[in-house]
Amino acid sequence: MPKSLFVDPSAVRAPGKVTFNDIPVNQYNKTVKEELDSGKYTKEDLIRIFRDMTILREFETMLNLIKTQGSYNGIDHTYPGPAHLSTGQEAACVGQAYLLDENDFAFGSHRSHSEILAKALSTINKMSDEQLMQVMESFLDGKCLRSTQKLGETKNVKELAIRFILYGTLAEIFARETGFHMGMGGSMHAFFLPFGIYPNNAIVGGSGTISTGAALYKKVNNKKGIVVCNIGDASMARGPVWEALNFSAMDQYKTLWESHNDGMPILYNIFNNSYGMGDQTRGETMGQGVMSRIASGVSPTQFHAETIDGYNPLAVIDAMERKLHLLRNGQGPVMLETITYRFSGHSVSDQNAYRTKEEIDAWKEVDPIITYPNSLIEAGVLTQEEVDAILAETSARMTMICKAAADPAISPYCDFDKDPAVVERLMFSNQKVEKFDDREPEVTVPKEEAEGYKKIKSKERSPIGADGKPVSKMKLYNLRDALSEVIYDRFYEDPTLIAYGEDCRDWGGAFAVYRGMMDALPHCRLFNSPLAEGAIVGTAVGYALSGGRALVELMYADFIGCAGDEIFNQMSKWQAMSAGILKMPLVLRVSVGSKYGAQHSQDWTALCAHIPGLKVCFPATPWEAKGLMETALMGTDPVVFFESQRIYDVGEQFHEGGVPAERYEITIGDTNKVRDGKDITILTIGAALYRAMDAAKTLSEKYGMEADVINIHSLVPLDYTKIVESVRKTGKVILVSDACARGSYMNDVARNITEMCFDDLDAPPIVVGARNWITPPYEFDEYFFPQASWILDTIHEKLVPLAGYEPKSSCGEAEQIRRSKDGV
Amino acid sequence: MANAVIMPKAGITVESCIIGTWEKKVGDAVKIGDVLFTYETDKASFECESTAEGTLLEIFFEEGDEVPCLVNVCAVGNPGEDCSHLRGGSSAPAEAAPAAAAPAAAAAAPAAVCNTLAKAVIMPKAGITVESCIIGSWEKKVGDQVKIGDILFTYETDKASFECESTAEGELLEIFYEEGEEVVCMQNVCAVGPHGEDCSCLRPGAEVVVAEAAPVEQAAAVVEETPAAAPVAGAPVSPRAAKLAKAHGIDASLATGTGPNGRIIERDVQKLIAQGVQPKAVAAPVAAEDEYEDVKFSGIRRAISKSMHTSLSTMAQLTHNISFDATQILAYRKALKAAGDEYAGITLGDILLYAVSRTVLNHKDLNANMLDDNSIRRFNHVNLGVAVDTPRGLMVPTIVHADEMSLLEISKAVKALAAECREGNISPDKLSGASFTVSNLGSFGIESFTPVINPPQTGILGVCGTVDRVRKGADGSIQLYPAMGLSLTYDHRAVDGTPASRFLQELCKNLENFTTLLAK
Repeated sequence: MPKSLFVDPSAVRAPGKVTFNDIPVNQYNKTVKEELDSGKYTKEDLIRIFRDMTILREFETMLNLIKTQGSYNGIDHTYPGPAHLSTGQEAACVGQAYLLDENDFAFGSHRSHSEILAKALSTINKMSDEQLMQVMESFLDGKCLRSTQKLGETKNVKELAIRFILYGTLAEIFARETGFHMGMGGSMHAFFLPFGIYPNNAIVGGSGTISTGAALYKKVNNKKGIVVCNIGDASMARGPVWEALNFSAMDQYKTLWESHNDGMPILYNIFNNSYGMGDQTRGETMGQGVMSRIASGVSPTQFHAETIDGYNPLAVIDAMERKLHLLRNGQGPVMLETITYRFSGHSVSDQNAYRTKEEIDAWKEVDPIITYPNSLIEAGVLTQEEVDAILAETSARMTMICKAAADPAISPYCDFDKDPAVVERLMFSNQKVEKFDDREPEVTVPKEEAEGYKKIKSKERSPIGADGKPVSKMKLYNLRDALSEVIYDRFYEDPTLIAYGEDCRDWGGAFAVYRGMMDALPHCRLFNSPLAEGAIVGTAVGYALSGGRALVELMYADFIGCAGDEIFNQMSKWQAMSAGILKMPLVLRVSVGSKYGAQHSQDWTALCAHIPGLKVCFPATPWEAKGLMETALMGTDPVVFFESQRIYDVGEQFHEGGVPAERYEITIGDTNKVRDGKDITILTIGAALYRAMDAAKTLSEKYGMEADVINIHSLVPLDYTKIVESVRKTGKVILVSDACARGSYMNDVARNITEMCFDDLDAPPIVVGARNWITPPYEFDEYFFPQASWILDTIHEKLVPLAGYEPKSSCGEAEQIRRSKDGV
Repeated sequence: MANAVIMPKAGITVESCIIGTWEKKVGDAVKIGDVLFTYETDKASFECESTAEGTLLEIFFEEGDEVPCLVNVCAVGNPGEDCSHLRGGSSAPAEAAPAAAAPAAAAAAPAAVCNTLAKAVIMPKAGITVESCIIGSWEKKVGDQVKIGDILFTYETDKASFECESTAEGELLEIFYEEGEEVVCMQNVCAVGPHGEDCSCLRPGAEVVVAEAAPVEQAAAVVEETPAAAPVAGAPVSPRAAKLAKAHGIDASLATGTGPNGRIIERDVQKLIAQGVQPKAVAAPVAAEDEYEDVKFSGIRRAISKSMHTSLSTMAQLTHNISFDATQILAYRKALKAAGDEYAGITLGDILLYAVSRTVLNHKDLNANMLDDNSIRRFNHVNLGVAVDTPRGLMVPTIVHADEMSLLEISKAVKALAAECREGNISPDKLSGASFTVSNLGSFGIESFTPVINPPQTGILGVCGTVDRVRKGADGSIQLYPAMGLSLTYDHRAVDGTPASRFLQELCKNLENFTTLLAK
């Protein structure tokens, strides 16, 4: 909602029509001879294209034999994992990679072995021997190189590098410790950053948003190169891919951004092999007919889209040359639909029930691994003997690589028996990084002169003023200010830090945490995103794993569902799947609503805490909010940062002296004891803390019981030390949060307490959560969310009867069984 | 007429705003829609447009002032007009109840409202621990006119009797409880009101909230107060309570559970400790290994343990000691031995049993079982329990109808039963049903002891060893004679000291004149 853009009714209501440019389809028509004569390629270039294709083909052939027959060229090996082969797609991959170098990032899909290898072979060809040696020696401390060197001397460094890339990829697929990521990624997640090969993704279309985020990183941080997003035809049906296309084409880059206002440097390349798994995307499950048409629905530039023949490597190179020119001149995003075909099934268990032998044979007739060398022979570039020699060399190399990768002596598995914590160590990077780049952060005014920052600094940091009187709500430093203060500080320290989300800029975020920041930050660091949660989180994942720090926001926790894959599969997994090579400095702010009904009031902390690889925080006091945000924005791990709309306005009621003006960190995993008592422990998450404190007050005043109240501001990780200490002391524990009771994270805490404190318990730990209903209208809040009276009722009925207490509601065992039986 | 412009409510939760800047000053002409001033919440900044047309007459708040929402901020009207009445005014509704209050209040209302002019008189709470009282007598009857303070009825606790005065005036319309009935405190007992008034909704069970019947607010001091209840066998014990009890060496099951479902929780064990319940066993000092051995009781040992403990903790036992001149029975025993055959096997113990079987029937309260605290079962035959030492522990088989058996028969029966006990194959039926028991420690030289009664019997006779004593003969000479000791323990609940002594006296006489007894 920028005021500078005038929505003129006379303009938007004016009659007219929408026109489209023609989209070229398979327009390339040059012969090898013509290309050779034009001087575009040398003979060696053309031969190397063929050699690379043979390497790709042999790799997939080898895997197919290992999977289906357990043997390849006399090497017996059993590989139980996935193999989504790209046999038949080699020309398209080699053609695409031909002009790319290590500064260009390529992201892929579950069917990306050929893309990885093609990009690597192209990069190897472009890098100097010194650069190659430096990359190989430094990667994983040379572990992968040493295994490769056991295969014997090579005639040159480039041959060593080819063996290195083949070995590292195959060892990764075979789940070996010597693979590129210790085997933690595997076939569908192999990649190699030093050559600009970025993660492939087992989620169809998963790379759509992530690669867009990587392009955003390059754009905002002035990094060399462009980004290629390789996705299959089937992924074009997925919402997040459309979200990504839109994100890359937002008008604001040109209309509003003060700097970095070039187009997004990204190529969306659709490898269209006509099939999803077995579904046919042309004629059955989709309706575009020609996929390059899609971009016309996203931007007037139509992404300069065209459809090209992926069965001719020279046609692909021709198109790439033109698209790279556009991208390097700031005219992205661009789109290519690269027509190809896979001879292999979706996976090796594919019975090809969905296509005929005739169809496969028809494509084999034009298989580029035969037609391309034939065209070279015809043009006098190669002889049949030379072709055979290249095939023999490729086969011999692959046999050697396969033998080594299958041999446990050269390629051991991670030893889970000797080192059971091998994966544990990979889950979080736990580093502290003040800034990811050394340049000066881009801002429009010095921090001390930023009005919003000054206002926060002028507020009273304790609810009781120096005069002993309560501070007015308007002047009190509250939870919102605590978040803003840290975010300001970090914006002025880490030049790579960017923040975006729905209405983050002009509105200041729906809950005003960014209020006023637009006056201090250019658009490239704080901007409004489209209302597309998949793109918000997915692009942030791409931004973070590319090397920048991202802070993004979902307006309501309920929208987590719209970004399910991006949060649960991408944000959470990449650090460990990359064996720690990727970092994920990404903080996802998520606001828990109230008053807005069933789709805007849910506490979904349990969903996030359930997923391994995410850190999860939920501060309930300004002191907690400031310290945790500081830690989160200094760290290198993905943090889902929950905030409650009920308490943005609260001042610090517990920490002595209020919220310190100086910087400080709170360890994620610590707990915050806000009240001391000996008789009962009350554990809380989120805004329920304040209702628990009301209950504690009643317990003390009317029933002579003193409650230990501990707020769990960090769900993952969580240090139980202080909780166990308290429960051992009191013997009674009640756990309160606003999440629906069934499946609430508190059940996990209760289970652990039961295990660790069983002999000290005077009653079972009881979880008090919201009812297992939809959230009714706000007028009925007290019937749905835990209240102080619910806490007292529960204590009286299930922990320790309170003398003279009259419970307001009762839930005996029969009622508990009935509710569970009814699913409510 | 001057109009006020109010501070708008910028959101449901916004209670006040701060005035940013005034865009107009007093005396300026303003039109509807003109921006008068800017104001801020903690989230955003807004512009306030004039809702009136005319001259800005007065500004009530300056820049930076915090103004509650809906309060008048300035006045707009005709030049020179008095607007002082608008100062400090507000358009806020007088009772700006929060939105959530309405349905909550509705839900809290009682399901059925008691629409009657009649008033209930309740059973007063005669003390903090009194939960119910019994109605003594009604001093008024239905139809009587009563005034406030008139005595309606008397009521009793277990300690005292009280009078209940009427708390209402009118006709006694209905009596809900009759004399002798127990009424829970604070419960409606009768209704008083205008003649003919329907008071059915005051009847207990009519599910109506009676305002006056609110229970006395319990103070923190009464937290420890728990209803008097007896320990419940098999009540669940919380792990924490069990751990505490173990640390103090006491039996948690002795506590009265006050937790949910009668669970024994920490506070119950703490109470037990405070009451000074003794540890189950003296905690052994920590000793080096091998200095002792902890042995779990066998089943029989556990049964003995339980039975003996119950015996001593539930009965009023005392013991009388006496001795008699055993000259005759010793001589008789010698004669039997000399007689040979099966007679040779008759022991002094058998002789004692025979004498008891022929004596105790004359003292029926000792040949009896206690049925409960208030009744006793006297037996018409003597079923003699005989304490037998076995490798597994003490066993007490019963000689049924010993009073009908000869000395030889008794001797044989004892031998057979003892053998079965030692072999461990005795039927449990033979280990019960005794009306009186004899325990013989004479062969160990015990001079006197305190036998423990086998419940539910009322007595047990201990037989001690024989010692030589001196006595003054009829001729004045000093005589030496064998004196055998007897120790009778009896349950004073069933038997007093004199009858118990009489039994011993007769028994001694029978033993001293055993041949005469045999002749009977």
